[in-house]
Amino acid sequence: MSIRTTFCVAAIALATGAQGAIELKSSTFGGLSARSIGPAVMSGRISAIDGVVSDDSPVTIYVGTASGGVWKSDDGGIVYKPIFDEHTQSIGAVRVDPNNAETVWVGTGESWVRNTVAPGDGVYRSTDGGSKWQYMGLKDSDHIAELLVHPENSDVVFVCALGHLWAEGGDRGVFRSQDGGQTWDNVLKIDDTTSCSDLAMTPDGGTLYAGMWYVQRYPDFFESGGETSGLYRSTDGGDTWEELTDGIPEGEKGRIAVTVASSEPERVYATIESENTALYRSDDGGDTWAEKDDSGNIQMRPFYFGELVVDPSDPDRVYKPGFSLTVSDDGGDSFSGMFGAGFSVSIHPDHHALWINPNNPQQLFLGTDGGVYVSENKGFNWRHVANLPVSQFYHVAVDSRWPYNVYGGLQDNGSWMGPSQAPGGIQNRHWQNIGFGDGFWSFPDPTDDRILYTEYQGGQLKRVDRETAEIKRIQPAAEEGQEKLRFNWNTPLHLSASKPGTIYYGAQYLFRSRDRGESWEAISPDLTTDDPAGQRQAESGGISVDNTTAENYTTIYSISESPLDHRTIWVGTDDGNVQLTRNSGRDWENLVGNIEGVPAGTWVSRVEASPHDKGTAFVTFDGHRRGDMKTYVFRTTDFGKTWTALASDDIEGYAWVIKQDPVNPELLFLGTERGLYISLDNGENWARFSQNLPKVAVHDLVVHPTEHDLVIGTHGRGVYVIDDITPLRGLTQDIIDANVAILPTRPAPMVLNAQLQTFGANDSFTANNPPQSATVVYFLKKRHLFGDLKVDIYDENDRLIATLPGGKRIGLNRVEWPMRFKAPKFPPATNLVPGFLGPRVPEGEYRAVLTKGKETLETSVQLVADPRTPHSKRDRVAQQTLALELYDMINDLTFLSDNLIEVRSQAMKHAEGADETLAQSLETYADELETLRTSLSSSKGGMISGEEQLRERLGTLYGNVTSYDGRPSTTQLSRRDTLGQELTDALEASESLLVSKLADVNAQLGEAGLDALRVLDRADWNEEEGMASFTTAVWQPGWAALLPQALWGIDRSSNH
Amino acid sequence: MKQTLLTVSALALAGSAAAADLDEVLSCNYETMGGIENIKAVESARMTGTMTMGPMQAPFTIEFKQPNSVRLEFEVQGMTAVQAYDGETGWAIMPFMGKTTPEEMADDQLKEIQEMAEWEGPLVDWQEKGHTVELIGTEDVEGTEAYALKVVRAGSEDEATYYLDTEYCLPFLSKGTRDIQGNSLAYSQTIGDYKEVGEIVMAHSMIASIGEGAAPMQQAITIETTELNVSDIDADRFAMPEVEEPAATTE
Repeated sequence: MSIRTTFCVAAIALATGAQGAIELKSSTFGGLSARSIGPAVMSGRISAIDGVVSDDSPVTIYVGTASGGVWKSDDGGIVYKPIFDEHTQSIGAVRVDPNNAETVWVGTGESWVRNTVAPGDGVYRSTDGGSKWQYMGLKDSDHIAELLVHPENSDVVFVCALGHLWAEGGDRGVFRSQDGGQTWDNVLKIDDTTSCSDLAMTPDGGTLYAGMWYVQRYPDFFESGGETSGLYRSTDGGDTWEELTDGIPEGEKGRIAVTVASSEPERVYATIESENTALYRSDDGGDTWAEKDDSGNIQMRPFYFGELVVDPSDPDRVYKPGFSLTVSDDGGDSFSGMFGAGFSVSIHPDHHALWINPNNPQQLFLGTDGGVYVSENKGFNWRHVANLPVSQFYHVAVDSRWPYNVYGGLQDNGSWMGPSQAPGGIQNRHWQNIGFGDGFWSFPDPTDDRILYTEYQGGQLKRVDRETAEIKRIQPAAEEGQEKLRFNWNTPLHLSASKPGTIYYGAQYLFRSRDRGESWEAISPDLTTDDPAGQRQAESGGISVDNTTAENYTTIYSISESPLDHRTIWVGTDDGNVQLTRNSGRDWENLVGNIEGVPAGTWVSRVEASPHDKGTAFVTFDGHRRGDMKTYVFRTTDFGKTWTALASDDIEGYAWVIKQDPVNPELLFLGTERGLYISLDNGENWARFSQNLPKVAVHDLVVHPTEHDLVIGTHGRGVYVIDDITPLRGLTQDIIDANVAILPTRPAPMVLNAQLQTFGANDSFTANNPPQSATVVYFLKKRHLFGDLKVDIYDENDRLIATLPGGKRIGLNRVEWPMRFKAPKFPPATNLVPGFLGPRVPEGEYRAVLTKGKETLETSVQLVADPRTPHSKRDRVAQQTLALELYDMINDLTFLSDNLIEVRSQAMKHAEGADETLAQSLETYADELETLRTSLSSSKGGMISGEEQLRERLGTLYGNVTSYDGRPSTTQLSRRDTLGQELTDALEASESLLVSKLADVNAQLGEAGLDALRVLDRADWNEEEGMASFTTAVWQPGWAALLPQALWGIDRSSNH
Repeated sequence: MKQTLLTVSALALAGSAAAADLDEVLSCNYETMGGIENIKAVESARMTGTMTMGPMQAPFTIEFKQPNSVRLEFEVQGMTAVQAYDGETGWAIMPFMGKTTPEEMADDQLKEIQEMAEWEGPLVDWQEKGHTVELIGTEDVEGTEAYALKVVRAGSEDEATYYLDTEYCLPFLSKGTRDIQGNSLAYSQTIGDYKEVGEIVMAHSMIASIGEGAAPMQQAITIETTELNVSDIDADRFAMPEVEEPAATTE
């Protein structure tokens, strides 16, 4: 075989992933953890709230969210903790057992069934206040509107379930368990298309009311309302049900909300979607009903706002969460616009959940599309809970600044940008709004990141100046003769990787602009099926028309230009087409027929051109809007002629996004409705990445091209970052098979010291920065149990700089080295000085030695300057030099102090048994030693004595110099000289005590036959204290001849 | 010698992880640790090492004496802090703000140092001590199969779960909550680097996390030297000194 052939074979092997399968588990990723960067400032949609009151504790609040899991506060609503991270994050109902506050039920699957709602997978119960969860069945309930526990019997539980939203069937109607959730009976079922929309119970548990609702969703249309909807009642604990009709509108009805006034159980309220949607009231336990208010907020979007709550102390006060929160004080006859029709107070609109403190009905917890609000005066004033990071991103993008920013659009919360790290951590104030409405794709222009592209729903593309917030609307318009443009709710925007300024936007045609959106050309015919049967959005809604662009269909949904060839563009449509052009749009080919194993017409959730090979692309499909929850992932390597299915049984949830790592083509990242999955072998094997990343819908992924971070856009838990995926790129089967192996990491920037004063509070949200450390990463096959596991860091002169404890878990372990020398050793004293940290080590390469028991492995870590540094290399070296000089000066002072203490201690011991003259002489000598020592270090007690001796002066200067990476000030340099002189004086003073005077004392001791007093040896001391010395000479008693010129003068030719 | 020790205990439970009961798990644990008699033969111990908290490191010395006495010293900027317990009184000297006299610990701190004073850990003689120890099952913990033992110490309501690997029955993680002024604070401790010291096997590394979430407060303790049955640890090192005495050590 010729060399040439061999080379070709190897190249192909790499390109086609012939490295072989790499079997992995979630534990393979070990301690490689995702980092939440929030944001919590806009929060996200809240779907359910329940609370617990007691006489002697603060209110406990459980918050169920649309797609961010369940959160619990046990301190009255100050701190919220996520308690449901390992399960589906779409929550329909949360209910605390009224008989036992430790038992909490969660019905998964939100019931506010907008276009982007996600299904759940049944019912869960915790018996320990939410720490552990047990699955209790009803897998096909999909969406749960309500869950109630009998007030006197914890075993009796009712679930109000929608069942399949996008198909017929599922667990629909009212379910009852009489054995604490072990088994369920479908006690109220109408048919396979009628759901339970709400359930209410009288305070004694004797009577139940259920709203039954005909509802179905399709990709282009939804239908709320039909002949089978109705309001039902059971007076025998759910055994039998009767439809209530007296006073209830006849004919087709839609969503029904129902609630009982707990202070007057015969009083029942219901909102009923019908031709004239209105509030209805019964005063006789549901026998007869009277129509009440039908104002705007009562009638608004009944499918989305189906909640009704009565004040527990006042049967006439009824709250209607809706577009805004309105309230009636007259039993529903009229409703006041609490916010002046919802616009005058800018709390977030769209309200879905309300909990009223039964012990204090002034206190309300309100769940909106923008998080939780709390009122202490019945809803007149509101406080926003700004520490619930349940933000619902659709897409994320990054820029090339350092630190880089993350951009993204969110459900009902516009578009935002925020930093990946910030001084003191990323707080709400660091996030900047860059667009309104529902936000989707947003990007900075690659050549000028002051220019941002953002959009809102249904193809409303904008160009935003991020400095001035001025907006130019730049969406394409239909040209003469063209049919109306169809833009998806989540219209795809794509920026060319190779042609800055070129952007693509998808309607049914693919539009291209080469002038940042000033003008557009359609570069394709209609790429969708253009099937009129899929274009019913104008009639969407059923009884109440709801045409918001959310159901726009037969549209382009995903665009990807090959980073290697701008003429090759892949397009996916929501109605199942995968289109490719290889000549900038002149010719298009629909490739979907070549893909086997996915039902025709299945929504293409992502097309992704490979960054490695222009013939390679990935496609994900999402069939959930037709009731198909399977994961579909495919790859082609021949421009779409043939496709390989990549999904495996290890993946859960329908697919949203796939990304191929730009460095290692074998490394794939897949986001699904149930989390993030990683493959190391080009898609053969997958494992869920779960370290600090909940089982949340991952809608978008970006691998940062220079920082090598994976940025994860979740729909429900904000943005996460896996800092530095370099180790994943090196994870091969050989490494996984080894007992221990070291993996590469990115160069570590020595981040500038940021010193801003912030005082935190528990109710504010602060996201962590990445560790300000160099990282050593290794893989362990088994948990380390026996012997040392540590990392030693050596400099170029093989000097040991740091010893770090190592992680011990299976999989990847990250050890962080703060890139500093050991802190200087200070003399004993009574005051702290700003010298807790060692000086920074110089930039460059360091050797890291991993010791695991008897094995050692080596790697190197690269330290680089902060990319933002305003300091020249020369200035940084000047700072490091001075820092090290001061470091040695402090250690010299400490060595002196330790000598004074040591020799004094020896003298005092000898004095104990000595004759009077000798004892007197030794004590006098000891006093002189102590006098010198206390003249150098603070010795006064008291909390803040303010005493400053040489130790404190040196420590302060050291702290000031080491906290700034640039050139030391002239004052600091001259201060070094002043303190250097003081230290020289002290050392000289000690010379007379520790050399000449010591000799005299030792002569007396010798005469008395006693051992001589001995000074400490500097080399021994250095070793024992782990101190390095950086200056050309270090002080030791007896070195007077060298003083002062040889001390602390760093050899400036060395590479410090 | 360790090799033999470990092989024996590994054999003791090999293949029977699911079926093990508490007594089997504990006897396997005692055996790996060097045998119950050898563990109980340790009357005193002195360990030195390094505490690491982010970029800060501090040397420490910890001394134990049976029954139930402990003294921890650590040094920052030449100042030595002391925390000690003599079986009755918990006390501390925290000299960093100029206060060099000992102070008696509040109840919350006392609980922590009492636990520290139980040198051999709660699994040894748990019944005699009045602790509750319960095998709650076998769990996958970060990819490692582990026995989960629920531990409630005598006189406390704080629950902790100890995770012991199923091969050697060595604790590698404990998690729990501690009642602090009526509120519960979560903590965890990763335990490892087991080494033979004399006749017994001891952990030499502990990484403690306090609080919850992605980045709890972390402190790592690495033990570098260990002496057992040390003759020069006097009982009076654990008792709270008279306040008149100068207390901060300057060694």
